[in-house]
Amino acid sequence: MTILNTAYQPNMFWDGGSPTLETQVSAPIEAHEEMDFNVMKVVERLNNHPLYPSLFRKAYNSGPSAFTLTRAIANFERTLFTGKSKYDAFQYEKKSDALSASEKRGMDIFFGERAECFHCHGGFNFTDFSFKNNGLYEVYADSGRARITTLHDDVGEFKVPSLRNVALTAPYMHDGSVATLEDVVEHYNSGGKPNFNKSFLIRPLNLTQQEKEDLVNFMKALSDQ
Amino acid sequence: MKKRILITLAVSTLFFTACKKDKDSKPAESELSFHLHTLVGNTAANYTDIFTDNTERKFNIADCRYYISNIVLIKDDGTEFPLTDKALLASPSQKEYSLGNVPVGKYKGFRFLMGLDSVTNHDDPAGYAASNPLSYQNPTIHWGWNNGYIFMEFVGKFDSTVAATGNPVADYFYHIGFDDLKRTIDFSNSPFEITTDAGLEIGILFDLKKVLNNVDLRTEFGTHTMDNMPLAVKIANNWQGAYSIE
Repeated sequence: MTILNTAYQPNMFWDGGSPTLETQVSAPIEAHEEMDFNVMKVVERLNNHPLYPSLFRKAYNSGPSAFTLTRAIANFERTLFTGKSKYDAFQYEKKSDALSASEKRGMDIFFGERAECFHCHGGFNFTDFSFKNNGLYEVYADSGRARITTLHDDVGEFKVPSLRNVALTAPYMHDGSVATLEDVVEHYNSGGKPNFNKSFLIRPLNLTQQEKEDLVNFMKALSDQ
Repeated sequence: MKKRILITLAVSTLFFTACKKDKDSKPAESELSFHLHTLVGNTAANYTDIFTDNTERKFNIADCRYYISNIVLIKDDGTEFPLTDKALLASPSQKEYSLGNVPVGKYKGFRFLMGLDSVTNHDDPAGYAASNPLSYQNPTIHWGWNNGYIFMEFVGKFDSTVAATGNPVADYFYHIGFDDLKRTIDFSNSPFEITTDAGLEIGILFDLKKVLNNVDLRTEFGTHTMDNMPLAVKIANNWQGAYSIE
């Protein structure tokens, strides 16, 4: 999942467990699978750094601390914007030739009632920020949103990701188990695996080979230029 | 001009009267603290010692820390005196926990939460001063993935041999924390009196052996709460019984 346009996210992580960019900071620092470190040790390192203490004081009138560290990273992340794709040129700058014929056909499929992609991947960020079970597995190793809510109805639900720059963020799905955009489209075209909690929108689409290619081409047109 | 002076005088009189009254009506206070012993049976839960559980299986302790919060003192007349904004992070190495000044008088008892209330549990730890137990700790006692605290961290090694004849070399880990797992520890019938003469220490015992009641270390050696909720619930349900007044 991209961290571009993350300022728009109402909560963080695939399961939405962290409410703000500030509180999110500690998770990758401390998770055993990631840095396996400690927030206060990071603060200590920053305080011993030749340059950072003065930079922190300049920005926050206060040296490195858990507070200023989390604010600094969160505020940096809020500056990471995207919105200059071929699609943006077509849609918002009204440049009718910005998209190719295939990309335009893909766009119609994307926003059409047959594939119904836009119901979840709608809006400026191509996500409604909801949590959905897309039928990736019959039994999910990661319970997803249910890990936060403990609700049976949330098992296997993960945050609908933004599709901006999606061609650059392989592999796909919450666990990175799908390698290419073509494979992603195959998954949705197949209707996914049976799961008690699967979104009703995930069902066989019967797209032709050309339609699948068009859909992939449209998603590739969401990359910043 | 005369009128203005009069008004000023009247206001000053009011102000001073109010101040005096406030000072007079303020109840006398004295310091209250918890003297908290974290034990295994009758022995201090030192990290360098080896203990036995309820089935004589050996274990040691590498880290044992737990949050106590929402302390409420119950006065003799039944009214309650909550100690707001006071969370303690207890561990075997520390016994004294100051609760600040409280009104003198007779009390019927007190109660507190083992763990944190659901609002505090999801606060931003970075918003607390480094001296506050709710700030980020090293080692951590907070989960970033759901922005919640670990109410009790209790980890170490145990003897995993079937016959319990070996040494503590296998890991056990109990990371207990979830809104629903906070438990009220009730000492509402443990009277005490606070006088102006000296502060009062309430002696409290917390027995880790009782925390392990009906927990089979060999099969129930670990939970991060969400990955083994039944075990986390079992341990949380043992908390009340593990506490006693000294």
